[in-house]
Amino acid sequence: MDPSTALQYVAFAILLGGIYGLVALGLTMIFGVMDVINFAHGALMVVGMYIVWWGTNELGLSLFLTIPIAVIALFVLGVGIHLSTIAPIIDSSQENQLIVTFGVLLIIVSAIEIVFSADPQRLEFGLGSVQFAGVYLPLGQLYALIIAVLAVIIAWAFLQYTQLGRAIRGTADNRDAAQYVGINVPRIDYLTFGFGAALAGLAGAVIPLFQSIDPHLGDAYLINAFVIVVLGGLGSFPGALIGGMIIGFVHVFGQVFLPGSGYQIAIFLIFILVLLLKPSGLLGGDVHE
Amino acid sequence: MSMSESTAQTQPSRIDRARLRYRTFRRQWYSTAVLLAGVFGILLVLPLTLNLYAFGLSLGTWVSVHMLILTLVWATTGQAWNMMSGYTGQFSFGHAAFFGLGAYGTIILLNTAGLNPWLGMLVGATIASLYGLLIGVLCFRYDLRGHYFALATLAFAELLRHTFNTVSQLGGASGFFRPLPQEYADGFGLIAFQFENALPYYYVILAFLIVVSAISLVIKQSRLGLYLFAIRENENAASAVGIPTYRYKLVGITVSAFFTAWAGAFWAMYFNTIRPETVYDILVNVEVLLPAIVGGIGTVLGPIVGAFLVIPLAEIARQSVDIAGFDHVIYGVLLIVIVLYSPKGVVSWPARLFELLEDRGLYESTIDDENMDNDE
Amino acid sequence: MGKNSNRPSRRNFIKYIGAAGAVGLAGCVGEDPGDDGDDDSDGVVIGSNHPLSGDLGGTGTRMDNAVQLAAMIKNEDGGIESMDGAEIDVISGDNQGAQELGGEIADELVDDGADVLTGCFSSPVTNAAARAAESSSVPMVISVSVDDAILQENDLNYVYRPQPPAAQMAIDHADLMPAAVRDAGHDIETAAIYYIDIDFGQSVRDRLQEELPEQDIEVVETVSVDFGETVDTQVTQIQSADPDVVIAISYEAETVELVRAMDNQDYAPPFLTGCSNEALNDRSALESMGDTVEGALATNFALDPTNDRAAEVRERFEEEFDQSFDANVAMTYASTEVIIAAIEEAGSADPDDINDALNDIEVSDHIAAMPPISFDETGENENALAPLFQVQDLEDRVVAPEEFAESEIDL
Repeated sequence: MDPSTALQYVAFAILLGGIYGLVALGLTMIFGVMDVINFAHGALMVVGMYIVWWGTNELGLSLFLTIPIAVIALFVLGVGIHLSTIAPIIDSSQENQLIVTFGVLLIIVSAIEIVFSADPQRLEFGLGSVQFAGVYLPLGQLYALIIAVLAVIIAWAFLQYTQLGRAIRGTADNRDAAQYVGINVPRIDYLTFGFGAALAGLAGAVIPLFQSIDPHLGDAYLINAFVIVVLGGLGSFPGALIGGMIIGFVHVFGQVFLPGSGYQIAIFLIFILVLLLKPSGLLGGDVHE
Repeated sequence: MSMSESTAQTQPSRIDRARLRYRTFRRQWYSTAVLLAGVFGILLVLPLTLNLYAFGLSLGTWVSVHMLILTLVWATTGQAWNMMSGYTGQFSFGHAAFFGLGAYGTIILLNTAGLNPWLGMLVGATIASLYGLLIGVLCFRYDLRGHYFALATLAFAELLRHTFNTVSQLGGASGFFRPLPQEYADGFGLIAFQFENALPYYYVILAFLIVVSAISLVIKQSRLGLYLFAIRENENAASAVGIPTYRYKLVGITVSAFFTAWAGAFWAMYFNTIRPETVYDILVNVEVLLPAIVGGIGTVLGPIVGAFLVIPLAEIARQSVDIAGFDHVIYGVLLIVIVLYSPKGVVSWPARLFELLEDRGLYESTIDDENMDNDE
Repeated sequence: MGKNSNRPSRRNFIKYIGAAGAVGLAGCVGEDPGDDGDDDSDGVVIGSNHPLSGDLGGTGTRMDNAVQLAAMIKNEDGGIESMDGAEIDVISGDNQGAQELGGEIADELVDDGADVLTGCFSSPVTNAAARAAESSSVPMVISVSVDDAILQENDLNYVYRPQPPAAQMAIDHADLMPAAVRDAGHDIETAAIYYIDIDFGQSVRDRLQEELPEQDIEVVETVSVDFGETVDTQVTQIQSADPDVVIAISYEAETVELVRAMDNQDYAPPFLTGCSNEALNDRSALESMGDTVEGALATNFALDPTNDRAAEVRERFEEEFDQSFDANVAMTYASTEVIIAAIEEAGSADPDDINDALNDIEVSDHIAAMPPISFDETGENENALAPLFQVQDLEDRVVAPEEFAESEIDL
């Protein structure tokens, strides 16, 4: 492999890693704070994709408008989903939460399929690419990476420096203790789920910039997003980005060196190893149960 | 109000006497076995009643033998899943691995070595058990619990899906075709594990369900069951009183994998082709455990009752609407509603009904409701 | 499963209950139970078993519409002549692309009065449906399903397939494509294969790897794509192998992704081709992919361009359903024409008569670019052909073999 080709692969790995990281952000937030595995995460992304695609293609709105709309709409949708389905069973067993989020996934994906059909859709314009030091950078992915990094910084700062952010972190550390010190845990929960859904919406919103979309596209991202969440440590935003990068590299170089979908086998092997050896994630400290 | 209360206190109503009698019955060690026998008695004759008419209607209007077979397949997997995840509380989200190994083991051995599918099924089930043992040794040794364990099992299942999809010696994405029965036996029949019509398949899978349920019941009522449930309630405490939890969790996953593989083997012989996308699909992981969760986790009747609720509901939803895909919306809503309003499963419904009636003031119990009807 | 059962058919009955409100949610959308043409004693009923929902739902719905259109046009032309102008009814079932539902839907359609069946696109589903058709002795003409094994590993007497299966498609591509390129005075010695990593991608890949060396073409790179993947890496891989031809085997979305990634890296191989690639027959997809696919060569079942009726059908379809007319739609339409011809031949709505007719039939008046369709003893079309076409002015034009060519190859 000549150096310029290798460099090209590295560039693609970083770009893909950024998208993976962005996809995992909302999942890690909900998982970390509420200890809920949100199977509907991929479906929420799909809603974001269709809002952007529909608003941009059919209504002719600017991306600067449709992407924020997607984020806000998903926040509202997330709060609605939480209050109607998750909140009543937040203290129930994890399998019940799993089934409920699975039910939400079925409803959302089928509804989108009924409204927009299962045919792939794409934005009418391509963003093209730039060449930099002999390496091609597709602009769609590049924008997605920039948005991912910005989202991580903003979300991280929000958790670190605002009162609400501190309350969320407190709840993530210990729900009971948070309750004792006067944090309104149910309110934190629905806000967390809302933020998580909004982040899913953001991830979904940037995907049409570089890829055809269809109602089942969320599935393709969801499983790897779980891997990234564990890799990066529950609830850790910088961890999600780093985990995303790792999976991005495994994906790209696995694609190059392994036959067929061998890269996916590699991803799961790494996942299992991390789960066994360091379930708190590569960046994490202790596991909290 | 108060008057009826006082009269009721002195003289139990007829309903309450029946409830008392039922409660006494449910406290007998044999009661679940008797109930199971009743359920299986109904299931034995069920397909024969599909074409009986009453008032111009018949059960066959609602379900086909094929759907009954699928119901029993998922009831069997639900039962097998329950033996591990329901009894010990180690939530597996990767039972598709065992299901697929059973299916592939049977077909590959049949195709390459001409091994009779019944023997192939046992070999496949053994391989599934060993894979389960491997998962168990790794995960339990490193003390993975809760979500982490669920995700690990999912990863082990997905690992197989992609491996079988990629390695052409394992069939690749096209998987395998079941050979014709003449090629390895004297045509259709029990020995070939292939039949010309659906009814014999129904009785085979029913027999599987009976075996798995019986073993599930025996385990539950044995000392082993006691230990398994102790792990579910409080693993640290169980460990503290000297129960070797690690070993018993391994027993749980091995047994569970073994019987899940049976259902997979049945699948392979019932449908004439298997592929990674059909037997290792992510959805299979959900379908395996859904009956147990809907029916009642940790109960022997639960997975059967759950399967007979979930799959017919999906069928009716599918057949009721003409907008393609809308049935999934209905199905999703029903799943959510069932879990939200009945987190303990369908087997808790009778007790819940009385509670509900009491809350509404429609009915007053004269007996105390503590540990009433809801355990087996 | 009696074919002439008097009992209320399952679907209709439950639909009725549904409409009556047992499934309250469904009440507003349940179809009026009255209008399901169940007991049309003088008509013939075709049961269409396709994925109308799920991830194959988009293509499946178009295929279902193709069946509807073929019947509609036949009815407009006066119905089945040999049955005094009897009308054709089409009833549809949604198999959701699920193996479990393939046979179930086939049974339901037969229950609802189908005299002949068609379907199912996804091969495991087609498999299950074919077995159900066989056991209820109702003939089935496969619309689209590429897996060789469906007919070749089963002993089926009621199942027929007009299209070329995966192996045939690869053989035709390896036959026609290099010859056409070389005839035009160009060299072609190396190839890269880009395939979707599912059953049909893998089987076409395997056959091409066998067949291409026979034509003195070395396969220098093989890259796979999964559903929902972006393919920048794959394009770099292909580019560094520098093949003379890139052969794409995939559904529409993955081909669009391939072209997007090629554009993003300013890469254009000497020749871009497709084998069993629906995107290169889909004019709306061609338009959105633009110049990069101009001149691309592909092998697939296709419309017969020398047949005026074919163009009319395409126009009518686009007008009637406002959907794009791709190769799968064309093939499904042609399969339905085979069914209709068999009904005409049989002069009867009896499934066994239709089956007998299918056994001996030779259908020369169809819209697919292949010789007359007739079936061998396994049920495969003896004359199945996947012609070579080229994208010219962003439209697919057949260029080989000669008898179907509408245009000269232009390289």
